[in-house]
Amino acid sequence: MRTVDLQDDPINVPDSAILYRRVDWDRIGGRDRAIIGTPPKLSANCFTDYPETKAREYGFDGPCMSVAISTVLIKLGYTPEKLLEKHPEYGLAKILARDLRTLKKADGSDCPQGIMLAAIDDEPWHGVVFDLNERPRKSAVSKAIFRVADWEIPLIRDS
Amino acid sequence: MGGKEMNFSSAIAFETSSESSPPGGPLGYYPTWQREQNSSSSISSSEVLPANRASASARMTPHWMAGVFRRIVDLSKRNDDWDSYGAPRLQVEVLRAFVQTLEGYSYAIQNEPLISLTSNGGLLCSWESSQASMDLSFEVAEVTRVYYEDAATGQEFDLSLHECETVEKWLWRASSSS
Repeated sequence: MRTVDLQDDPINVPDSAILYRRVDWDRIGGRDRAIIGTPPKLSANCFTDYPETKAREYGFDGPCMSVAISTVLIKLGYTPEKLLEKHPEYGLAKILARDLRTLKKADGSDCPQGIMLAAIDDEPWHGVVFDLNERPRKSAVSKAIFRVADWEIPLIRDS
Repeated sequence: MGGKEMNFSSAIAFETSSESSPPGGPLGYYPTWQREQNSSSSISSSEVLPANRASASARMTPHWMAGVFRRIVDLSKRNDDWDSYGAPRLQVEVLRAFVQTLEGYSYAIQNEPLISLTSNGGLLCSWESSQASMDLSFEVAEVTRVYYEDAATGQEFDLSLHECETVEKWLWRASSSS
């Protein structure tokens, strides 16, 4: 299998692009601990890399995090809801590409993330995010991503 | 990608079989802090960290532990690709460190953690209070990691549990109800 070099690609993924990532209850402590009717808090655990073995199996040359890229979705005429078509029980988190490229830890130090398009057969909008300084991504960096992320389509406990 | 097949309820029972809760108060046990508090009644429980592990000489089951075990049994039912990104199911190898750590520091933990699965089939325990947030992460073939953020200063720490000399104090703060 061809190995894909992880290289930031601001041409195909401009700073204005929004990146989406599916979130399920077990990433954020479980449905039972959520307050009924209120979107739960996202967690840094929502923004972690593939297992390294999985990343290599998919052909990437290091740990990275799977996302969907808004600019490609829009070009194909889709809304973010498309990403949950096969996963109706999930929510969707969003992050601005610019926020990842200029990411800072709580202490103000830089921890820039690279983003590239990595289309796969049934997901032409698929991309990956990777740490440009240190791989695998450290907890403090996942926390930094969490701080700039928000819900696009929140999980809601309804009963 | 799959973890070892096993009955997680049995695994947890095995991990805790040596524990025996002494008869206690309304919760079935007398936490260390409560016993200390009885002798100095003006101190709030959330302000006083039990002196040390030795002072919690009797092995006690804190009120939040039942919820933890229920959660683990629940998470053990997830299949591979539970997150839609190819994450493996809960890996049984992480359970020993998970149970030993939570039991070992139970005297310093005031409330039930949020427990999540990680991308590698590990477990993440999280607490958040007005004073701090803290994570303990348990991954296969890795040492237990500690992440701590002080709410007042914003200072972050990311280190292994073995390196962490203030873990009890951090757990106490982060798991506080206030």
